[in-house]
Formats: sequence, structure tokens, C-alpha cells
Amino acid sequence: MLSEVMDVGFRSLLLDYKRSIPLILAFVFGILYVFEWYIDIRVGTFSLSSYLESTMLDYFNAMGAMAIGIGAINVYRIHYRNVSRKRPYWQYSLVVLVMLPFMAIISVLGGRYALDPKGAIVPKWIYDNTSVIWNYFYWCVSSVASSMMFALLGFFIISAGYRAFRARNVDAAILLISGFIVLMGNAPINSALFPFFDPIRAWIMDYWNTSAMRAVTLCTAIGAMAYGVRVIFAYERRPTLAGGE
Amino acid sequence: MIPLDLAQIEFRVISGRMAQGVLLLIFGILTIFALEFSKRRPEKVKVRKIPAVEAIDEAIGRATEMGRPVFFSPGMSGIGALETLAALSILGDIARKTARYGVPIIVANRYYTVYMAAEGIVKQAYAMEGKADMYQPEFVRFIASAQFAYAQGCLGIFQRERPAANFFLGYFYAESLELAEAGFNIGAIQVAGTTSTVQLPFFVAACDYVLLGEELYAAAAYVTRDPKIIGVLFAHDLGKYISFVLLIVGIVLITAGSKFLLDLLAK
Amino acid sequence: MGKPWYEFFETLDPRWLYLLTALCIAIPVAVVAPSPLSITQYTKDMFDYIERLPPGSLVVLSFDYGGAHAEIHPQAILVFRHVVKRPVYIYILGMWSDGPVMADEIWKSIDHTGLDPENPTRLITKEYGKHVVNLGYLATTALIIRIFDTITGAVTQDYYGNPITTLPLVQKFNGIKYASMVISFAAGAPGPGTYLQYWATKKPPPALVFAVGLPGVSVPGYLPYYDAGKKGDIGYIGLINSLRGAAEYEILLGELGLSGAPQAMNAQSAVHYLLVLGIILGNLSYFAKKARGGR
Repeated sequence: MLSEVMDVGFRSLLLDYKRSIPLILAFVFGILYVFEWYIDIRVGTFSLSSYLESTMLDYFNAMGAMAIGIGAINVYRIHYRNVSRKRPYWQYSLVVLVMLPFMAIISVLGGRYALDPKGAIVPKWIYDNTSVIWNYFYWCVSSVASSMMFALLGFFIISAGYRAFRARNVDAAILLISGFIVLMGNAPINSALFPFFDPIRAWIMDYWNTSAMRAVTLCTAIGAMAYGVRVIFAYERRPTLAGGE
Repeated sequence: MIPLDLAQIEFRVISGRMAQGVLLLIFGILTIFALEFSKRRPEKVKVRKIPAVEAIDEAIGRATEMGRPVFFSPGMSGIGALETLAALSILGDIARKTARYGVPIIVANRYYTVYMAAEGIVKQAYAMEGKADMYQPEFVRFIASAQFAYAQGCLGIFQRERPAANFFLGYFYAESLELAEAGFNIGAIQVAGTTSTVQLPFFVAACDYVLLGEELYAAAAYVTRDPKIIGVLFAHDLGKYISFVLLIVGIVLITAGSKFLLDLLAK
Repeated sequence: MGKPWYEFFETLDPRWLYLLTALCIAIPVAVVAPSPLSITQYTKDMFDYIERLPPGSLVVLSFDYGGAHAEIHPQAILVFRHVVKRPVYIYILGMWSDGPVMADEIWKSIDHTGLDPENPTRLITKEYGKHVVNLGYLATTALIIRIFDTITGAVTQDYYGNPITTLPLVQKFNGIKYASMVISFAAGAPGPGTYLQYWATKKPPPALVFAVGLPGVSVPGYLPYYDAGKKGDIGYIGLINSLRGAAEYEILLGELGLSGAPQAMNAQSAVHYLLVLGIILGNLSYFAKKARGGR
């Protein structure tokens, strides 16, 4: 924002309002949110800090809810084209086209946060029956599929570890040795077989790992602050954020 | 309704945050200094080579030669996360290059708000290259909001469309290794960047080039080579020097038995 | 002339590794007797702290995980059972929408017998509403901030749809500020860092302490917080590290078979050894190939 005003001039900014309005909004709200973190402005019982946290969050949630519709339209558009043009694996797209509205309706009527579980508006028998269907699809399909994807990580770790842990140079060798010690220390059966690995593992994790993690976290946080400054003061010249070059 | 009785207005400093505020103010002043310095003396402010950023061109070139698409994931966080904004910055640059070379791009999004931003960026990138007619709606996709449903969708894209270059930039969770390993299995060249300290090791193991933590933010500046943005990188480094000095002073004081700095920073 | 031995390992199809992994998991799980296990300090710290909680304390259990919960769900079962056994009151909430659902599943499956918070020498059956309340899903940060000061001001009903003002426990403790301990079972974000940010600054330790159950990948990142918490600063006084931590906790609790975690330790050891073997063979083949002039 500051750079725009300094470089381009205030008048030009007003004329190019399509570009300047997002910049002004980003600047004002960026500064406001930073300011209210440190100093709470109170007028009687009104607190700016609480207002920003509660009411503004409601606005963000409302915008997000609208965006869900746009996302669903995009999903439909892509998968409909796959089916209509019989692209490879179009059958999976057909499943998406059928299941998306099906699960949406079932969730509204009988899901965990259903519209009317007590049956005040929608007849209770509808909730009772659809919740059985929802529970089946959620616990026996969706939850199990998520667990399956999480379990895949175990297999991928083996293949990635087998491929990546090579002592190609000194750094890789140090990584390999410390990784080996931590692996052996973590293997539960080694409490009985090779108990000496555990104190060495604990030493590596408590001193080397903790200090390295602190360093990476600190530098990332400073980087985030610097990036925040860039966004608030509109140094980011990206198409959506700054309207293009 | 917001009451506007200005006679009752009061400013209340929130306890425990003043030290942070002062440090932020110092950092802000340093940023302005760094910006002015880099504007006046751009030859003095150089950015070291970041191999992962240099590899972006290599990856897109490979995709062009093989006639296969480029895949981009802006991470698992929403539009409010700085990592996502940094990733979208780099997306603009990648999208312009794919438009220039005529390579399809697939941007897979987890959040609808990020999807809308990515769609705008890619459309505009193609327009800037004079290739607006080449843009297709399938380039930018909303996959799913659920974490592993998104991962499954991306794995499906890898299997069906077999991209030659994968970019994983943003904040990732447990699905990072799945994406990287599945990408490796189809023979794609992979560039990753995340600030998640937990997922970095998986990317390092499975990807060809990785932006570590803050390098993701630096890369967004590096691709533009704008002296003002490089000035902010300079401010970033100055902030790190201040942290280093505070660390040394703190260690010395604590070892000597004084909690002065600790108490000062807790104010 | 056949391929040299090192070429076989250099070009090994990863599907063989996947098959070996599957066997290393499936076969040991069938072995019922759990192998011996040492107890790590951070698990012991959490267990000991809960054991020492004064009678009548309020404990908050935050279920911040979802469907893919193989590492965290056993931890949650064990800690929930432990806290029910102790003479304390319990609030349940979650920053993930699936969290309170997981808590409900556990509440329905565990034994409700425990010491009476009002008379710690007496064993009773803990009742929902009087000793335990499930406050449900906290969708926004504003709710998390507000619920610390007042529960009735933040939510209108509990997870089961009961009006919040009718619950005896809420009438007794109308706010998280009355809690002595917050235990979060966190799969990712939003996670335990959120509570440290908003609650620990309002009621710092030792008045309110925090502990966490984490999946294995997250533990290295949170060890600095455990380090700080041990010293009395804002951080965690205890930490359960993935399924192994759950197995350790089950041994400490003395209710073997409750979560199934110790039985999985054999499989975990087998896979660890498979990976170590793979690393050794991979490096041997790499160096052999290099020695013979390969790249």
C-alpha cells in the first residue's frame, strides 16, 4: 500500500479503483488486526478485539459457505465432462456425480449435525432412517477410507526410507546414523534386546532435535512476519493480490 | 451496532504482549530501512541461489519435452495462511511459464476459497501471456475438503494424467509423503516447499528439490527479482540477526543466574 | 551372466517392500503376548500428574482428531478411562467436528466406575451430566476464547442436544477457567497450540496445566513445549507419543486389553527392523556399486 502510494501517486490509485480497493482493504484490516492484538479498544461495553474475533469470523464463515457452492459446481463441471466425453476412468466420475448430492441430502437430513434431529419440522422417521444410512456411509466407507489412506503412509515410509537413506556424503551419513539410532531406540522390542539405544535416542531427540526444531520454527516465524509485511503493504505483485503487473 | 460514544473510548494494553509489540515495531522500522537501502543500493543486496527455485524452470522444461502436464498443489491450508499466499505467488510465475510453453497445468485445491484465488491467478497468467484462449476450466480444480479425500484425488490425478513435474508448495500434513511418493512412482520431477517442520523430512526423502521453511517465503520474492521484495528478504535476515543477539545475551544472563531478559520479554 | 547382487537391491520393485511390510504387520499382530516395553519419561509424567490431581478437580479432555485415528484413539481411550477412575470431574470438547463423536464412542464403551470427587474413598458409577459433560464441537476461535470464561455464554446445548443450563456439572463449573488440567488429543491443526495461545496466557501454570497426545510425526515438533512445561513455563507437563505411548500408558494404568496398543508393538518392532534391514542392504549395494565404478 505504502509502495503504491509512493510510486504511483494517490490520484492514480483512486482512478484504478479495481486494483486499489483490495489493496486498501488488505492494508486496513491487516493493520487493524495487528493493532488489536496488542491494544484492545473499548467503547463502553463494546470491545474491538471481541468484535473482530466473533462478528468478523461470522462474516468469513458466511463467505466460506458461499464458496462451498462454487467448489461443488467446479467438481460437477469437471466430472460431468469426464462422463459426457467418456474420458478414461469416466466410471469413477459417475460415482462422484451420484454420491455428491446423495451424501449432501443424507447429511442434512440424518447426519451428525442434522437439520432437525428432534423432528420438530421434518418428520422424525426421516431422521431415524437417514441417520442409519449416514452412519453406514460415514463409519464404514468414509472413515475407513481415511484410515486406509493414513495406513498407506506406513508402506510409503518403508519405500521412501529404503530409497533415500544412502550415505552419499558426510551430511547424509550423519543423518543416516542418527536415523538408525532413533529407529532402533523407538523399536519397542529393543527395550529388552538392545536397551542402550534408548538413552542415546533420548539424547538426540531432547538436545539435537529440540534445538534444531526451535531454530527452524523461529526462522519460519520471522519469515512469516516479513511476508505479512509484504502482503499488508502491498509489495506482493501477484495477479489476485495486487491486480497484476 | 457499534457504539460511537467517543468520550467513553479507552485503549487497554493487553498484558503479556507489550514486549512482542515493541519487537514487532523494531522489526517494522528495520523493514522500512531495508526497503530504502535496497531501493537506493540494489547492487548491495543480493539473494543467494535457492536450488529449488532454479529447478522450477528445469521441471517445466521437462514437462514440455515429455508433453505431459504440470501439477501444482498450494497446500492444505486456507487462503488466510501465509504459506498458501506464498504458494499462490509462485503459482502465478509457474502458470505464466506453462502458458508460454503450451504445457497444461493442473492445480488441485483443498479449499474452495483457495480454488477461487488460484483460478483467478491462472486465468490472468494465461491472459498476460496472450494465451487466454488456451486456458481450460479443468486446469484449476477443487478436489475435496477432507484431508485424505484430497490426497486420494491427487493420487488419482497422478495415475490418470501422469504429470511430469509436481510442485507441492504450502502447508502440508500427513498426506505429504503420499503425494511425494506417488509422484515419485510415476517418474515426475518434484519440487516441494513447506513450513511444516514435521513434514519437511518426508519431502526431503521423496522429492528432488525442497524449499525449507522460510525459503518458501523467500522463493516468492526470488522469482520476481523485484528490489523492493528483496529488500524485505533483507529485513527478514536482519530480524534473524536480532534474534541471534537476543539468544546469546539470554544464554549468558540465564547462565549467570539473571532472569532479567526472560521477564522483560514476558511483559 | 546374471545381474550383480547390488543391482537387484538398487532396482528393487517397491511392491516387494510393500508385501514384506504387510507381512511384518499382519503376522506379529496375531501373536497375543505383548513384548516388554520401557516407559518413556513424558508418558510417565502425564500419568503421574493425573494420579496426583486433587479430588474435586476439573479436567478438560479435548478430542482434536478425526476418522484416521489409529494412533490417537487408543491414547484417548486410556486417558479417558484413567480420568474417569480418578475423583475428578470431566468436560469434553473438540476443535475438530469428529472429536466429540470419538469421545461419545469411548464413553459408551468404557467402564464408568471411579472414585467419587466428593468422597474420594468411595467407588461410584460416574453419571453423565453430573460428573462428565460433552460440550461438543467448538467451531471457531471466538468460541474457544469465550468458553474459557463462561460455558453458558458460549454454547446453548451439549453434544446430545440437552440445554446446557440444565446440566449440574455446568451449574457447578461454568467455565474452563475452573479447570486444573487440559489434555488434548491432537492429530494436527487446530491443535494443542491453540489452547496454549488462548488459555495458558489467561491462567498460567501451575494453576492450569496442559498435556497432549500426539501422532508420532508431530512429537519432535512439540518436544520443545514439553521441555518448557517441565520447567513450569507455558508448555506441556506430559506427552503421549503415538501408539507406543498408548501401550506404555496401558501398562501404567494396569487395564491390559483396553486399547489393544501393546499387542501392536510386536508389529511396530517388526516394521522398524524391516526398515533398518532395508537401509543396511540399500547402503551396502550403493557402496558396492560405487566400488565397481557405478554411479
